[in-house]
Amino acid sequence: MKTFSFLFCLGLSAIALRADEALTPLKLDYPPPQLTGTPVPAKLKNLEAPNVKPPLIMVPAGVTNLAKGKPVTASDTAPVIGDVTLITDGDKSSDEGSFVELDRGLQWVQIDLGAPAELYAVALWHYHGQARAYLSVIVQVSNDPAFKTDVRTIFNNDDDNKSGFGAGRDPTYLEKNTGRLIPAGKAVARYVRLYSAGNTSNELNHYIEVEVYGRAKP
Amino acid sequence: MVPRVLNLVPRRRLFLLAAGLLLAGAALLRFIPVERRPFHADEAVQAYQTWQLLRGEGYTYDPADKHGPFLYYAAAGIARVSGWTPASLDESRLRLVTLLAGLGTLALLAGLSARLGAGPALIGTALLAAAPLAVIYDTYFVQEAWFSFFTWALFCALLRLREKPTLPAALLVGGLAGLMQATKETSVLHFAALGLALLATTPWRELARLWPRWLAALGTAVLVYVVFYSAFFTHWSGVVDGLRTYAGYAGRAAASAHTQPWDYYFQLLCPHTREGAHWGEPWLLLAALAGAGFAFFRPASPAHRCLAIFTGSLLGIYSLIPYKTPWLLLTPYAGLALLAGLGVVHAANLLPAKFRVVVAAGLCLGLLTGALVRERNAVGRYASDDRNPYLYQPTSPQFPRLVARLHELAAQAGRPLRVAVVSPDYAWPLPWYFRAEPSFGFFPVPPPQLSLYDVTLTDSRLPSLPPPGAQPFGLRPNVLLWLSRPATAP
Repeated sequence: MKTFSFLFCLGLSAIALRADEALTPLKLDYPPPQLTGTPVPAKLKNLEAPNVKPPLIMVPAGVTNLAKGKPVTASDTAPVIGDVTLITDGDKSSDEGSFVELDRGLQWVQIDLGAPAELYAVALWHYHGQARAYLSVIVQVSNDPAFKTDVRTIFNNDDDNKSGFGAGRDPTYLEKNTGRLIPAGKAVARYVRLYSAGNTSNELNHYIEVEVYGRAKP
Repeated sequence: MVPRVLNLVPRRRLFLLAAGLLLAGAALLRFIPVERRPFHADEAVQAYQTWQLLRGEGYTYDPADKHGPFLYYAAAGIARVSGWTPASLDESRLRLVTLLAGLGTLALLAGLSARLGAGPALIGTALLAAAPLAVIYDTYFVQEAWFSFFTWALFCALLRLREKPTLPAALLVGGLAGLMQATKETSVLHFAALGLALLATTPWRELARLWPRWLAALGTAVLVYVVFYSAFFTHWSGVVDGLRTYAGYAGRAAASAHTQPWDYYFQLLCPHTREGAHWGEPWLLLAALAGAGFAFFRPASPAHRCLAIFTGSLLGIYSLIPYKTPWLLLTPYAGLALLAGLGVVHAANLLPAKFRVVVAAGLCLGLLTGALVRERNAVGRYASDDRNPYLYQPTSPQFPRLVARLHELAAQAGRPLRVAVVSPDYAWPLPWYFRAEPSFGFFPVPPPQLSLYDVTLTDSRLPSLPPPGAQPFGLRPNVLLWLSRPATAP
């Protein structure tokens, strides 16, 4: 018992001693920036090789790309580069003549599928010839061409709600030649609208291709 | 003496009115987009040194990859006179410092009317006033605008010295040569082109006869050089370093990451497309080529030949050196504009007298319209876009989002943020925007205890993958900064 009491007191003393130790704030290192010369052009590193296959889309029989060749409208009615028909022409390369460039700020493109359909996925290719991420990417589906009613958002990475559709929780992503696949959750809709507000390289908005996978409303 | 046929605007008042209007228009063109571009990395580095100088931290010349001190002293001087404090320095104010030089160059070009003729001088001034390259780099806080101004001032002073070899004229030549050297060490290239032009258009005996004047000019140039490179007699090793720098320059000119093909500047001005955007100034090139040709035939004067040889040899020198950036074209571009003016006026003079003014005005209007259309794209839609051929490694126009986000996070935390910026080139211009924040650390590789910082900004060129949930912010073409915060961060 005496031994136990002795050890107990010794333990308490040790704890007391540790408590008495002066605590100092951890000092972090903040080295100043070095003055550098003109930035060296950066080579592309984070783009996948062109032969990398796009992610697999698991869909039931009868699901096709309903957007192919369908009419497209846009908030920028007179794009300086390209035209909106390029968005559904089936060409996914980032070469000149394959993309449409919309003006600065929040812009949208809208695809009319012709009739309400059961949608499984939207695949989206912004400009992917450079390492960049497009900002405030929002994808909505609706049966209302004006997108005033019956609007369902299937993707939103506008985390600070710059576009006014509510803060999105989807991740910002780097553009790749494999595009971005967005599940549509069997939403039934005739129109698909895609927003963006510039990208990390410039203030403009680019679309190479949009595919909408679905089937006619059962 | 200028041939009468080149004086399309013979009345002095009319000429002054036209020149004044051109300068006012040029100021407006340059002033409107001054806030549109975030600082380029190079501008931020110059601004940072100016800020340090203004804070009383002094200046010492660094021969490794740096330019002369003139810009910092000029900016700090203007700041003191204008009452700007280190805290109130911003992009707009600093860009006004170079805007002065840009407008000065335009005034010099207009002032060349006495030697080149009012027509070529006015048209050249108008073309440079509207040129996208000049509009951009006259408001770029780097050395080039002042360098171009001093070069053209020296060109004018040399023509004057040749005509009237007085001592003040020689001192002016020396002072300007010294200021060129104090602005950029590459002044030796401009001296070579100017020397060649002078030698080719002036009898050797006439030049040799002026040796006392050349000595006076050399003495003045050396004095100006010593004053600036010794940081006003406080850092004497800078005088030697200013010469040592050429060893580094020789290596850099031969092999560098900024190496471009010999016809880079020609390609820039030729019609071309970049990812769908159309560029090029073929009509200016053609008009300048015609002007250069006319400079060697009657009624052209030795001053015209001097201009043609100077512009051609400077373009040749810059084309032969593998190190190339668009802003290096600024000085020879002014020569091209004057030559284009000469070409337009000469071409008009081939016609009957009654058509001359109308044709010259029509050609000038066509060239100006083309320049303004390009200018609209270069400083508007593509103001910070790397498809803009006049830009080189521009800072992303979305970069201010990152600055705003960091301020927002600091406001949420209610205290200065502890930020680690991990980037091989220190993520310039970011250090400028947070220059007064002592809790911003800049590391070329990840520091130990990285998780203890409130925010980490990681350069996308580093091999490590971005942390989960990190937000990308554009820095430059193909370069992103990933913003991440530990789970415990505010």
